[in-house]
Amino acid sequence: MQDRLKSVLSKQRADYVEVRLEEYESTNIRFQGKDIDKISSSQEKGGNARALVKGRWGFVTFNRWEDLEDKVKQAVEIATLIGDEQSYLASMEPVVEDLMAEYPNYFREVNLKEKVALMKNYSNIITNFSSKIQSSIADYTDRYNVVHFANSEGTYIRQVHPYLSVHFTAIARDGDDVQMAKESIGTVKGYEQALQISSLAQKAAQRSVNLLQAKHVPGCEYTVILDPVLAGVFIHEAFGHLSEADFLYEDPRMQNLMVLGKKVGSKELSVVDDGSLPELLGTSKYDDEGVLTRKNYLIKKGILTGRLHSRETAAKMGEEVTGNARAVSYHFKPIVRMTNTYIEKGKTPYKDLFNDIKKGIYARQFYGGNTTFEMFTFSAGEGYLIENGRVTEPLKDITLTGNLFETLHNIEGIGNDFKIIESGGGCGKGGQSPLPVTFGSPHIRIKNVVVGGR
Amino acid sequence: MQDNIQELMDKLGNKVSSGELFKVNFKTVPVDYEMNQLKSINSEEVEGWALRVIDNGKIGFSSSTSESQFENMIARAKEIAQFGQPALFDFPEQVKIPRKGKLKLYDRSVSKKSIAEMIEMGNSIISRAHCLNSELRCDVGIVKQEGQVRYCNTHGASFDYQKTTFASSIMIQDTKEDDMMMLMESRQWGQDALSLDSLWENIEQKFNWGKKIVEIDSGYMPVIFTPKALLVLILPLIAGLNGRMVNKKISPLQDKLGQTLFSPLLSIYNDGTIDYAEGSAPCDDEGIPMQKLPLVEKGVLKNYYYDLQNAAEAKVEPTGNGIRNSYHTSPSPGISNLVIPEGETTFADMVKDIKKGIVVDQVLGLGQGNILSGAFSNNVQLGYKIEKGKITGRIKNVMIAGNALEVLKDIVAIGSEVDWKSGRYCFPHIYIKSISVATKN
Repeated sequence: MQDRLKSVLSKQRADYVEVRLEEYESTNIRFQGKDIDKISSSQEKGGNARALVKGRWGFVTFNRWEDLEDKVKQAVEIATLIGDEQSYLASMEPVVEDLMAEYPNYFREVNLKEKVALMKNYSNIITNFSSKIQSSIADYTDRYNVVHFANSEGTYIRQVHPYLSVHFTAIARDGDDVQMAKESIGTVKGYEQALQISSLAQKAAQRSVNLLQAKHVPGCEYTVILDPVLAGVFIHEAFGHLSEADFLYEDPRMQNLMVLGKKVGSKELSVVDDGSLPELLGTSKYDDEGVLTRKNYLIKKGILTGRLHSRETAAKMGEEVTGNARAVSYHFKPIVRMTNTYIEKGKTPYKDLFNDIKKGIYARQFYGGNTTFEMFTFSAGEGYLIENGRVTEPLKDITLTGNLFETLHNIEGIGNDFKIIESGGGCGKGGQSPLPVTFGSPHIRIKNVVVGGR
Repeated sequence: MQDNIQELMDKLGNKVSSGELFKVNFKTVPVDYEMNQLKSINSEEVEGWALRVIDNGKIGFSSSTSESQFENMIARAKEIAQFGQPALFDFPEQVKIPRKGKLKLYDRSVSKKSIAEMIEMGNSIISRAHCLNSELRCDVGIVKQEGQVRYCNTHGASFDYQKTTFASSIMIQDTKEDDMMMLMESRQWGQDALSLDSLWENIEQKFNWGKKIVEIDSGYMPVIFTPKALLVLILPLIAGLNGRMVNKKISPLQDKLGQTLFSPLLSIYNDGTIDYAEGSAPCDDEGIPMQKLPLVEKGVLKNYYYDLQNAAEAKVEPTGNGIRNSYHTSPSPGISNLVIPEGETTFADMVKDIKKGIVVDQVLGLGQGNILSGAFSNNVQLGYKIEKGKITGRIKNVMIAGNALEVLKDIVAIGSEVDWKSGRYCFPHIYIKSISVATKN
């Protein structure tokens, strides 16, 4: 394979050309209530070619590997048609590496019968939890991906991306009130990770039942405490996306907003993106342009210190590559993405964060989040009212919103606990979803957060 | 399908009780502009094969990207079927597509559209955007797609059709030291007949309204949803009318057919028979003809929507809503196109009617939260304040929240003009009496 790719790529007239060939096998099992709902086995094979000519890209995707030569040629032709500028691409040393790793208790060796029995058991745990539970979903997905990457500079990398996720949804009902709670895991570590998660199924069930008792949150401005899950979502959505240099690199007005050295938060606040942490969902040795991943400080002691780059954005902005060019699959070109993003732990015992809050909200878990540059929003999976420093009654349908820069300055406490969350969801950007990422944080306290409600 | 189709079906028929093969081929060419410049052109080809079988009374499913995997697909689907859902239906004996007034889905001129023409279109959009303000950032996408869908089963039923799509999307961003305004508009249709004039009217008007930022107080107030923002209220309805949700007894709308649940001003149709609409097809992805299905008529709940399996479970006729999200998934109940017919009130008259309220045009966090319960809670990413019957400026840092199933009871007026969103949602403006709006103290 390496030789074939090398020979195809060496013939092209372009500033840069790369090829990604990919195959995967995937199994999906879904129980709804006590019955099987969907079960499927899929298999995919395809590839893409991306060419850079005079500052413009041509990108071609295909399914038949035998068409590779034609498709590479086509990508170069398209780029040549529109190229009219200088090409920018951060330089790097060619890498040749084969990373066909072995994984413990590998899910491909587990038979279908065992996987089905496991999910049936989890679905029953949720359904039998309480008479208030109307339905449950237990959804299992495993995927084994092999990716070949080669470029015209001599790089050839073969990487394996195993992926396994289990999602639980518990649906509780009382008359017309239907409440839903979700829990999930996602992992690269192997099948045994899916075995011991009955407690997670129970947690989803318990929360959905609790939500039937929860009150609507009155909409206004609050001091909020975020648990590590929601704080992780916050830093990913609100700040992480704005650190992605593809939003900035050609936009001088955006760059003004994100000048390195700018003070964006208190001295206690440090934020990191690290694609090289061992065995996490957002981890890989090389990114999808063959650049080594590494630890990147985005905020250090309250000062904006870095951002995430592809080879093109790094070169255009005159900064170092960071290993953050990622593609969900061969259907897409690599774009700047996060990997494992977290807030470093602080000094305050997290229980002390609640002290002296007259009226606030303790928001936990998440449904989802969304951002457009400076504005962000994310929804809590559960929450509680805080009155005079104490957690009191349960609340539901809590969605928080704000302006990123104001909100970073409004972080007034960072706990000394810390957790990285590996959920079965993923991140979406530019139509590419779900990309496996993780996020983490201690408990944090933020003042003046707008919460929607009624 | 291919000439060897009979051979493939024979192979399949010998190994399972019955089976169906679904194949898609799509070619998509997007021309992308970033930051006012042509950035890249793609050529994306996709081939997908999906096999669904019924074996010993149970359903099995497998998919692949190549015909060469056919034998393997059969083996995998058979293995899966051992654990599959009991089949409550069988594949159709024939596909009954109405011959009269054949549905139009394919426009040769989309397929013939050259890259040069698409570039010319993109360039003209960029220069028009810069007439508004030369410092704006403008990102543009022009996309053409053509594809073919083919289906056949072991009972001898088959269908196939070709389809084209042409789309353009525009994002305009005005960045200042402490403010960023983003305006997004798009058009998508099966035919190369897109006039961007109405889109520019929208953009110019909204851009001008947005120049000034105004403050607003928290509280309950009237809200006008533009066609672009209306999915906030309609997504919970789409979820609640899904036959699967109803069968599983998790829909708040179950057991309510024939009841008046919403304002008598509101009617909603699922309609897969509209020429060139994105969700239209002669039949759904399992061979049941698409139809115009009333979901809500004058506030009364009329129908849920079903695929074959769920219709059989509910002991009703399938509605032609067996939709596949991709060739890797088996059909499940899904919406083709959704149409809310226009009402009688112009947008201008709605605004005139409001003393203090807002217009919601774009939201953040669509579909995030507990949709099934009807709950919505969204940041108003682009919205305007109305004071004494006039739009006075753009609002920021504002959340709207409520329960869509409740809110749709309190419709004051339905807009007199409809707009297509994503090529499949045909919506008017909707003016709601009162919604909770939260902002900074």
